[in-house]
Amino acid sequence: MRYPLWAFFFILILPPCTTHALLIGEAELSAAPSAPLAAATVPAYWTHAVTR
Amino acid sequence: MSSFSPPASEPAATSHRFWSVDSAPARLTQPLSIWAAPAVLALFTGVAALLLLLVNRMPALVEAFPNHDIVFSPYSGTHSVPLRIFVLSFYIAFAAVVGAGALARLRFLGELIFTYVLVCGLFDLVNILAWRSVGLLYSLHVVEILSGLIGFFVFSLKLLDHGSMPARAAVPERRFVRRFAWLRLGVAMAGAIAVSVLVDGLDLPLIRDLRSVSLLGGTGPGVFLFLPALFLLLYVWGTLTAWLGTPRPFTPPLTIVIPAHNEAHVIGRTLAAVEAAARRYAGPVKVLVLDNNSTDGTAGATERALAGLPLIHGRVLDVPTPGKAVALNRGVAETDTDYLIRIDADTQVLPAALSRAMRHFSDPQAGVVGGLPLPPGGGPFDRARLLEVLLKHGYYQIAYGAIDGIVGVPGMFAAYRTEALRAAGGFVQGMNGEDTDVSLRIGEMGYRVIGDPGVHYVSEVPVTYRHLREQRMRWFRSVYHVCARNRTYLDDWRPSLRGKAILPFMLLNSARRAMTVPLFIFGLLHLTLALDATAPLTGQAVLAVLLGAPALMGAFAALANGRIGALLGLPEYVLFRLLRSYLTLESVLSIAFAPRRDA
Repeated sequence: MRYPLWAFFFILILPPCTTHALLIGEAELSAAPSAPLAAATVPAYWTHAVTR
Repeated sequence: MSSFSPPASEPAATSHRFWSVDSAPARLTQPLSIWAAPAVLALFTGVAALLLLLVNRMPALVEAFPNHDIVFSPYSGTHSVPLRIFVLSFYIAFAAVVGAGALARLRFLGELIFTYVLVCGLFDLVNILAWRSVGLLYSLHVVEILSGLIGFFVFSLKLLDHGSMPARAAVPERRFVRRFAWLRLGVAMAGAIAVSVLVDGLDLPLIRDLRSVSLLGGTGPGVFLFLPALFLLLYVWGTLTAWLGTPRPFTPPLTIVIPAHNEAHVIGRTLAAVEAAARRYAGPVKVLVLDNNSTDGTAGATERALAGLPLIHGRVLDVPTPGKAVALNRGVAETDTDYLIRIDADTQVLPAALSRAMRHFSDPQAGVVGGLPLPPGGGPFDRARLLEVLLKHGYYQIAYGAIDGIVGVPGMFAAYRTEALRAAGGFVQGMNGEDTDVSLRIGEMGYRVIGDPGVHYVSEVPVTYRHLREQRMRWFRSVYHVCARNRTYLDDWRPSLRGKAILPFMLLNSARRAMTVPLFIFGLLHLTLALDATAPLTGQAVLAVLLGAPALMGAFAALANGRIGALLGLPEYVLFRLLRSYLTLESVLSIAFAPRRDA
């Protein structure tokens, strides 16, 4: 089995970007999914799915 | 002798001094009309405008996608550049124009879109799961930037799959282990995050604007500030390491190998420069000029020049088979010294170049040494090229060297440990980037690959647009050729920093460069269609990053290398970068398409 090239993105790009985003406020961690719902702008179908 | 025919769009190409069999390797490239890239841009403009209008005006789509892009992740914020629409528009335009049959184009487009949708969909799914489990919520900016990076990477990977590429080659055995490269990269990344968080904490309005469109600028992919901070830290690290570890003088016998195809007009000056450098070098210097299928009397001019140069021991060899790598390999075979320097026939080494380059080989693990290719000056592109060189070889190369991550040492001047060169397989024939290929393989054998900005030589810069185009199309195609041939480093399980980080980054960056002009058009579309209230802000930020960021990086590189005068070329450099991006698009369009095969 060959090494997956996509590991470059999911190991070397995504984690540092996520860490950086969290530290500069471009991402956030909240306690529960329902709590950020009011603050988050989500697509209408997603809202619909969550509230079903 | 040559079986190469110039493309139909260049009827008199063979009469140009710069055209050769290496300009467009047979089977791997195809003739490219000068209208192909404009066709891509025109088609892209139409498709992007249509998609933007649909997503912003069709009520059903406006309700489904309040983010004005095709994003399924939860996110915070309401606005960003709709990069998923951008990527899909580019894919459609590129696939429509690329030189292949209709079925091959459809298949290529289908795979591009399918892979992009799949990866973005997985990314969105991961975000949904992360949001539900730990409440992780990205801003829309971050989602869009990462979507753009995915788009660049998919494009390059699919080009590798669908394009006519060199066959995978066996890799040479490793001889040394270069330790702690990954650790050094990790430390530098952590430091870059800290620096960029610190600067971001200042909360300057300009930083906020630039970050929202950071993909579009010459700073490259990634969150704005992080990548420049990373390279700055690595540059400082590399510079300090070089200062602290100055090698001792080392002057063994060496051979200078010069492949020459129709270079009668310049070979005399080149050899005189070698003679001047040999005066500053304590060891014996041999010169091998390989007359490669010349028709202008290069051999005679070389003999006459050598007759007047008492210090270097030179001879001319006739290599009738056309191809620079063919000539170089003949030179390697004829070399009987432990060290070899290849230079182009129009490279003028400066007097200290040999002694400065060779001292690095006092380290028995040094494998390749490169330097700083200075433009001669006076040509239309020279001032821009100087800044490009100072940034690439006087800054980024130092940074990559700090983590043993240098991939390519340009063949205009490259010093090799002869044994390492032979063990790496010599110079590959029939593809672009034979210099990058061999330095990559020598580096992966565990030898040190060194870029010393104090090794100076003067290298010709094209004086016509046609020559510049030919040169850059070769150079920008080489990333794909080198990655295809050395795919083992990317997809086997060895923890190779070059294979797992640097080469993928180069592929991503190459795609970004090919998409820069379309991205510029996309920013203008966003501005002129006035699709949302903040569009003017986005448009201004796009232009600020496209124009301002490269200028800042170029200025820094000029100052770091003590070349204050180079700052005068900044306006030309900014425009040159846009031209370079356009030529990257042309270079990927010139890749021939082959039937699918398993790599």
